[in-house]
Amino acid sequence: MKGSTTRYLAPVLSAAVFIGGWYAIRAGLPTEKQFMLPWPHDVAQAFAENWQTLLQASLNIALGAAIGLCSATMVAVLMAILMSLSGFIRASLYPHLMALQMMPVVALAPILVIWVGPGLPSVSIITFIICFFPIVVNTTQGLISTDRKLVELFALYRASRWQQITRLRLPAAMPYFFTGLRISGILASIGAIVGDFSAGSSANDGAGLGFLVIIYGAQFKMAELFATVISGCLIGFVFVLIVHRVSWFCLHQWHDSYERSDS
Amino acid sequence: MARFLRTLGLLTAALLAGCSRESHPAVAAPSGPELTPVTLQLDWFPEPAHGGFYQAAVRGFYAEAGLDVTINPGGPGGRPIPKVAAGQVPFSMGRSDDMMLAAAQGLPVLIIAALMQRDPQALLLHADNPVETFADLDGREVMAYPGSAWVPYLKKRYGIEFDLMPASFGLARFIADPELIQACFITDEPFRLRKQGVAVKTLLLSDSGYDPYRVIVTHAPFAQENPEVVRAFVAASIRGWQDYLFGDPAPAHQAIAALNDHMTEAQMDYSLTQMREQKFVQGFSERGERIGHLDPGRLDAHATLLHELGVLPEPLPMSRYADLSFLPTELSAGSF
Amino acid sequence: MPDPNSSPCAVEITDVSKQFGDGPPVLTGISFGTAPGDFVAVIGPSGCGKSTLLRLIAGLSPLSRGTIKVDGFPPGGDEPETAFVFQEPTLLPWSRVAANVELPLRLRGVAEAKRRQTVQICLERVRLGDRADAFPRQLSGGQQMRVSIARALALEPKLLLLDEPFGALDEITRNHLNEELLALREHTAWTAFFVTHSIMEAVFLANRVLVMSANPGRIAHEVKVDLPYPRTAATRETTDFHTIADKLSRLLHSVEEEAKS
Repeated sequence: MKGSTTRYLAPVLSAAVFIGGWYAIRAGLPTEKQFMLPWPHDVAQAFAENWQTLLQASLNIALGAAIGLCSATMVAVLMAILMSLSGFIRASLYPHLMALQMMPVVALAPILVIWVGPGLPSVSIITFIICFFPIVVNTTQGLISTDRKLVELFALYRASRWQQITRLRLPAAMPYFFTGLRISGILASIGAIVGDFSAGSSANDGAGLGFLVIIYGAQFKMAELFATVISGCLIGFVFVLIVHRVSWFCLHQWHDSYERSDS
Repeated sequence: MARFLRTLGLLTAALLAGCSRESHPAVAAPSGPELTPVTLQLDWFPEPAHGGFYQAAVRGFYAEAGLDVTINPGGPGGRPIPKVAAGQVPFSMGRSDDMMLAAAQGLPVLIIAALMQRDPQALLLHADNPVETFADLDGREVMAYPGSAWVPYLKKRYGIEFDLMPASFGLARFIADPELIQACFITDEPFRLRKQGVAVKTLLLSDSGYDPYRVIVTHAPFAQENPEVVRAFVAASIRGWQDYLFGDPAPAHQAIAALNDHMTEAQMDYSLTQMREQKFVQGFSERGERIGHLDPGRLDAHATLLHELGVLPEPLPMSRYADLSFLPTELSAGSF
Repeated sequence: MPDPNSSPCAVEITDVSKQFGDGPPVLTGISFGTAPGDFVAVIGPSGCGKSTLLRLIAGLSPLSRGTIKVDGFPPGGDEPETAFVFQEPTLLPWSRVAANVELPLRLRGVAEAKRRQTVQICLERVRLGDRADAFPRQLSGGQQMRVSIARALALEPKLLLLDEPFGALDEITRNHLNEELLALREHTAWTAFFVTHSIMEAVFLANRVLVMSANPGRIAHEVKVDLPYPRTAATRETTDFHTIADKLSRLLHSVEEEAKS
């Protein structure tokens, strides 16, 4: 009981301290600097006045992030299996995957817009590129660092290559995979917002939070910008929560990273 | 406690403003041998649309006015207005409607002179695009900086709907997509595209009736503390523009070409010719327009228009966003 | 040729040597033969190549020289069913106990009804019939080892290779498991090679004990254990047991002294 009180009370308290500090700082700002930081209640009002716009933009970002993250997960796992098959394949592909990760999104965005058009297609692809790398690297690592004893056990039972992958290497790589997925889950909404910022479109009510940042930025609406940032945080939080939940579901019964919850 | 809060606030302000904060000269010394250092932040890479400032710098007009002006080039995402508002640079430029929006949100920026009587911003279309008028934009998609006030104006004035996508600050997409409509500077992109063999046409935004100034702006507290510096800067800049447009533009063009590799002689000649012929900077003398001149009635009318469009939350009095007292007397007097 | 499915098998090791790459030989001149049903314990100082010998018989590692025949077949191919029990339980942590025991049957494509039946029997034999749905980490070290043995027995092997399987357990648990292991032979007979550090364990389990020496690894002595099966906890109290244990202790000591000089 004490534990759960702490668990719920502590974040509420720290949030209260944070908002209190925010008020104090805003109150101390000289007149010509006041535009830099809106009052917390101004931000709340910005939420109240623009909630439909913000919600629609958040849903658009969530959709782009979900498409990008899911497709990145599927392709990354297939790629990781391919790379786990031989050191030669790993050596041939790895530098190119690194290059993919290094690709500056701002430079990529105009190219993507030409190829697939602005809006959801570009946003999803940018999210895909950002999310892909952590999953493929971690999953590959997991697939090739399977317990040697277990590999020998499978060899003793004359398991086929396919059996070794499906019954041994993939399950053994799951904790690694989820490490990558947790990183990508954080990156997904950020990627979608960055993508929307540089390759978004207002067509079909498809504008996302990145698009709103440009609009509010152009109009110098600081309270609305803060509200947009907070919306972005909330989406990121929801994604991380979902990934953690799935990870817990798959791992908690057997993996050491989760406390024993059943005894 | 109150003192503590104030200190905390000042500390935060200093942090927010960043370290590159320009030291504000306390005393202006226009006549002495000591020049007052000030910075002008451009809104784009150096180009003929900044020609008058370079002309004034190279020909020594600023020095004669007691100023040592550093011209900072801009670029995509440069966002000069927040820089001025934060007090990082004392002078920059932009559109008058943006300044009104900024001032309405409490940014301490002040319009001090006109840079151009009309905004050369236009919509760029392929020559064979069926869109001929603003009304034809209905249902189209336009690549432009979202949040610009001309968007709701066009929608309301012509009763149309169109979608936006963020500007990519390049022409590759435009060349690749014959359907694309994007915002441009009429003095710049059309020339570059025609040189590449792309047939284009333009719709000048000010022809729609949406007609903001391009203006020179300053940091309001700076103007309050250094009125003489601001006055000297405005006067020398206007002199520079006069000389650039109607004298020999070579000094400015050499300076610009040295700073911006993409600026060829032909490109700069084209831009300058456009500015001269379409009278973007000097305006129409029959309407009382001259270089630097600001008409308070026109500013007021524009602020009212923005309020009617719902872009400005309240009718904004001119004192909030402009101060015409820094204009040379003949310009400010002529307006009343 | 004997039918590999009917009885425990014979292992014939002839002049086997093993070295890894260009390194010093790990095993040299190992020659040894078992009769079907022999329980052979292998003891020796660390580094004498006991585990390597076991891996060679399992076919997990290629020979450098010599031959090994399991009922006439070279290991790692069509030899009669062989099971290996590692030092650690080596269970799939993501699979429940039943699924772990079932694994060899699944890999061999055994039909589901038969699989379920076999798993139940094997788990009951190691007294874990009620823990079929547990995950490995919910079990104690001794229980995990019993699952490992149940898994090894699932395919009814003719040859069982055990590499210090109880080395990490406390002595009481180890004694219990020793007794259980012998009890399991009452159900199905297999030939066993059992590597251990414990003389008591070797004497209690085996009818033949090989004492190996190190640098390079070779068979220094062989001691027959004539204690009758079935052996129970009481067997450890007999004079014969202690006589043999003392003898082995002396041999092991002399082998270790020899290695030092």
